[in-house]
Amino acid sequence: MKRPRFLGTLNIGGAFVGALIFAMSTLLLFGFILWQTAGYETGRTDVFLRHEAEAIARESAAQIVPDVNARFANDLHRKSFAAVFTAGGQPLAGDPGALPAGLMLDGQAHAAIVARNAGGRSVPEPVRLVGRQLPDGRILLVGRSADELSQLHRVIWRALALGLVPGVILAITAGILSSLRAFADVQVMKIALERIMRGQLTARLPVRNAADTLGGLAISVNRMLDEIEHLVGEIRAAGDGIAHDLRTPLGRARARLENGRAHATSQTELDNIVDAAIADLDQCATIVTALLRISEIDSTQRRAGFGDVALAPILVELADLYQPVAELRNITLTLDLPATNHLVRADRDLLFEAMANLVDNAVKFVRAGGKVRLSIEGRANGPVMWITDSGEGIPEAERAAVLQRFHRADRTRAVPGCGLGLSLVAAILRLHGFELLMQSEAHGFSVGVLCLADSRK
Amino acid sequence: MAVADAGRNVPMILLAEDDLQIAQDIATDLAGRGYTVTTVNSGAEALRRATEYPVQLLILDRMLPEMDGITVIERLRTAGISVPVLVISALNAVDDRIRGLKAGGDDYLTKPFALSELAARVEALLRRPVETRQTRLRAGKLELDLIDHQARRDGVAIDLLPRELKLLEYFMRRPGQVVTRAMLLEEVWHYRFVPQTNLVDVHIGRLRRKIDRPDGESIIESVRGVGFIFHETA
Repeated sequence: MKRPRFLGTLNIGGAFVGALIFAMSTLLLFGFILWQTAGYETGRTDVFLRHEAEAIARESAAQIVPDVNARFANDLHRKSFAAVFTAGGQPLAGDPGALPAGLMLDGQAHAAIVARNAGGRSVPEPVRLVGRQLPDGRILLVGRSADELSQLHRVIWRALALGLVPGVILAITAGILSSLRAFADVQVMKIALERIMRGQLTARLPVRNAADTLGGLAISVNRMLDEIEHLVGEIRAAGDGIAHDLRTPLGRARARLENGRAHATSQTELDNIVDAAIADLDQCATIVTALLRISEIDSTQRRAGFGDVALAPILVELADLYQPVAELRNITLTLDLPATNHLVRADRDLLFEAMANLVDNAVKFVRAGGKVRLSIEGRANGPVMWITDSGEGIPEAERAAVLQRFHRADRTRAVPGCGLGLSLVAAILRLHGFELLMQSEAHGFSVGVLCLADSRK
Repeated sequence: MAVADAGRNVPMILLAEDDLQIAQDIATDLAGRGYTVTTVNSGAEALRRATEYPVQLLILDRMLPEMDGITVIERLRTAGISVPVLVISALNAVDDRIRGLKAGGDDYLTKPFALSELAARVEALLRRPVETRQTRLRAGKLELDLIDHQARRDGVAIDLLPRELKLLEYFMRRPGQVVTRAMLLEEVWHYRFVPQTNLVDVHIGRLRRKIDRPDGESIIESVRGVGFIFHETA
């Protein structure tokens, strides 16, 4: 049998379970109170009865019957009573007029039902009763009606009924109301989420009360949505960039081939056109390779290739690698290493690749006659590998955008390269938890890799 | 499908590639370079052929129907067949590259590649480098002493940097063989990335100025669009 969806969402069952727990605990509490008060009351009565019986028994044999009669006559409320019987059980004085069957004559109080004389009729009544044998063999009964006790029971039960029933009703009502409220909140969230799933990424969940659980959840979901919106925006921008950077060489290749087929007048001319078209296709392949490499590094959670890496040898190797290129372009490449040995946790190959990209850039962008300097600065939070050049650098406003996958400052369009180098650097640094620093110098520009010592280790 | 003609001294290459266009272009190119090429288009067929016929080189696509390239290599190595393997793949992942090599493949090339790059790799795999126990490599009047790390021309010492020595040694072990820029980057510098500046050419240019005679042709010849060849007899 299928429950109505509404009830399922509402969690009515929860309200009933709550009410049941409430009722059970109330019952337990009342039961405990009853047990305690009744016990106390009975105990008090029993002590009193034992003392009475003892007091009467101590009197002289002749005095007992008149005393019992006097007590009987004095008790207007008929609460307490006393009676004397012969050793054979024949009544001598007092009320009740017969010994209850099975009563132990041990001087202790017991619960019993006795037939009491009420206006000439014999009425059975629950009592506490002490029976004992007097020294002369007669039997003495001292008792007290348990009527008060049962009245106490009745009062407690009535209080329980009067308190419990409205309590349970209240608990169920409160449960349903709060479910309804939560249900309404969840409904609103569901509608908002469905809108977002349909593609409206700017929509957010309403937050009615930031302090409650649901509100906290909504805030977390909203933060996640902010991040997703940001990522989707990045992917879209990257997609546009990919489309642009791939379409340009593809378009060139296509135009070249079409033109060559139609207008080439010699085999040599056709060969040149085909060669150029192949170069265009190679550029496309390079872009795809770089993109795959970036997403591969980005998706790497593995830090298996990590070890202790000394920074100075990386810069020495880079200087060795780029010295000939710098010389050819009439650029002075210098190395400025500290005496301290800086070690960081890193994947050496990847870190080298990132640094090589940065040095490659510097050597490429600095004008002939310029300078490039590689150095290490020890900072409190980790060493920085600096690449300082005498070039114009990247304008302040463009620095963040420079790290986006496809951004390339317009004035660099003429320089070969597909603009992915810095994005690759960014991906590698993200994996390491390192930071890219950029700063303007008096006569140039510096890019640095801050190897944060305590990053996600 | 060409059939092996093992009688003559023509290297026999088995090509396993399921894209028929690429398979045909590779086969045509390699045949033009004097190799005998047999083409198959599934992993199982590649394994059967390589097990039953003598093959000097296996060119294996990473993703093949029925049995993937890595499995083929593993089965071959298990069967004790140590034919050199060139894995070609459209996959880019470095991990995959490493897996390919660890499974016993000898070289790895990602698609798309220049046919000349493939040919250079094939040549390199077929002509194992000169693994000399000798401590001196000689090429014409050029001599490289591997013990005291000293190059000489006509007995005159040439002053080379450590990296230039490595570069020269790499060339001298592969005389007359086409060496591509990617091969140099991977094997001399151990880099898997492609610098955007013409690093390799600049380093070769510097090496040439040191080892060549000022008048004559360079001992390291540039092959346009492909790479370089070191001439033993220069």
